[in-house]
Amino acid sequence: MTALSRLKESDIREHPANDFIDKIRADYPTEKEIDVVFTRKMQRRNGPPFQQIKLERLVDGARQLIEERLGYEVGITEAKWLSGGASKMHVVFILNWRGLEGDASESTKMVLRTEPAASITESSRLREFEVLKAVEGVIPAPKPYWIDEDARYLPYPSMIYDFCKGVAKPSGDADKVTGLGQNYGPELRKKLAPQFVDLLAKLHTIDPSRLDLMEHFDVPVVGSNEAVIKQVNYVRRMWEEDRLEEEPIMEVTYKWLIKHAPPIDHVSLVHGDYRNGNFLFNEDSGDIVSWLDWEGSVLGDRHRDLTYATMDTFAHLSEDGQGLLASGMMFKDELFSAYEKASGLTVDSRRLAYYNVYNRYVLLGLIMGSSARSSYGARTHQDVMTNYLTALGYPNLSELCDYLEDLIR
Amino acid sequence: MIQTFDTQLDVSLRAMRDVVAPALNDAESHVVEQFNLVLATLEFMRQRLPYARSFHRLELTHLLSLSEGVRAFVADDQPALAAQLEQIEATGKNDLARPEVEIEDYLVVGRKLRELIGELIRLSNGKPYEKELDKLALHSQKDFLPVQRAWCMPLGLDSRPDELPSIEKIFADT
Repeated sequence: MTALSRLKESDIREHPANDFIDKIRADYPTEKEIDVVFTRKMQRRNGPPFQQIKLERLVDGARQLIEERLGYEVGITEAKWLSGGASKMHVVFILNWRGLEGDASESTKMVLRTEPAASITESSRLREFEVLKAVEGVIPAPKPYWIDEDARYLPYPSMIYDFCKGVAKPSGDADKVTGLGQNYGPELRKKLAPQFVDLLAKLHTIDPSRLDLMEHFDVPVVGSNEAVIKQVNYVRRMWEEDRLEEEPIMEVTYKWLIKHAPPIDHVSLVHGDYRNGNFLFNEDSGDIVSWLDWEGSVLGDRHRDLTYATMDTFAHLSEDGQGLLASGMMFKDELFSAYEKASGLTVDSRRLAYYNVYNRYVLLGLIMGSSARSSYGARTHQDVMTNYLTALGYPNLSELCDYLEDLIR
Repeated sequence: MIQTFDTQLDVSLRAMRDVVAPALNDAESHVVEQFNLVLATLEFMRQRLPYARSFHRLELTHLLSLSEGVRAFVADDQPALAAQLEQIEATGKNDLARPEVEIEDYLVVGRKLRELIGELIRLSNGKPYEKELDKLALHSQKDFLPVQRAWCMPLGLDSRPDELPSIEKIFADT
């Protein structure tokens, strides 16, 4: 046996036994729908290996799904793969149909969003569909049409929404991966930054009645930290299930997060991935036309989005060298101050400190856990991307250490 | 043997950069994106392969040192696990002393150490030595992070590359 074989054989997570899966579920309780999705992910690992899915197969599945939902025949043309995003597969196509009521004749550009066998973010299409419904008319976002939540028509759970015209990065700056550290330049920044803050404020103060649409989300109780602990366990579970190797700092971090979980003071709809690169804008007007990637949304603490948007990973140095522009928008303090004004909610420094640690824990779970695992197991359509992104792990671990050292004295 | 890894990677990279890349001008964007990522990955390998053995030996040496520190804290409270840790340490030291050991063997023993160290940190919850153990793990891992970040530097995702030592400097003596 070669040393490489010995290394592969020592990995108990690649083909997990049922009692291994059950123990993690019992040790780290999460939201109900998260448990469903993560358990399914682990069971898939013992199934057939991932095979590249042909475009034609997805188009056929999408057509069947739409026809079943509408009750009449439709046509799909001009289907092609869409680039961008590190976790899901996207196909753009023209739907030739008669509208939702069946009484029109329309050609509409649509997007099919589907899962690979595993991904950097294992998430629920049902939750994503529900959150897009909840923000409709409040936050610019893709309009969701149909969902195949249990993969009846398509190889994996999928959804279809309308195509949003816009760009994720200025046309002269096409090198960045998924918008990390995206620099919009001074002119565009002036237009985008106020919208970036205002939309975050709107999201966090959304009419609570809209949250009723989100049946597959656990609703936190104000004054309790139970929901926060479940969100910490979401990452812990990801780490337990996906990691290639243990990192002692992650264990120290978990204990700290559980011991210091702050009670929720206001239930917000949290985007979960609110940063530069995750929205489309009109390059001429500078208007944000669509917020993307809602798969990590939760009901929880607003400080989670605030600290995420201001992480160094997504920042770049201002032109005058005065400091880092959070998400390529504005200095951190300016952003918090503008947010307080727009939302009427406070920005609490203790909660910021907590979620600064939490978000780094999330990122590390995704990068050094799920991302590394999915590429190692050859489970996605873009393993070369998920593998590449693992290089973000050690710089983020370094940032996390700096925070923890201040907190554990 | 004339087929060195360096030559294999070098000729492949040059062909992809000089011949294939220009032909992809009209390709779909996801194809170009993946092509560029393949280039970056192979270039990373080209730059790091000469240091691979040294790197993995250094990482294992670091983990052995952390393990000994952890064992000193938990020996009385978790004697069985401490003994297990000591046994893995002995394997690791033996591996470092044997010239024929493969890189992946360093990884196997390193990962065993990591798992058990993680387990002992988890079990220290609420124990009198918990805080000191957490601090040890944190400081020790932090000290080694510049080496791990320097290792990944060719991939270009570190936002503060200027604060890192070069890989040549780290392994200047090897």
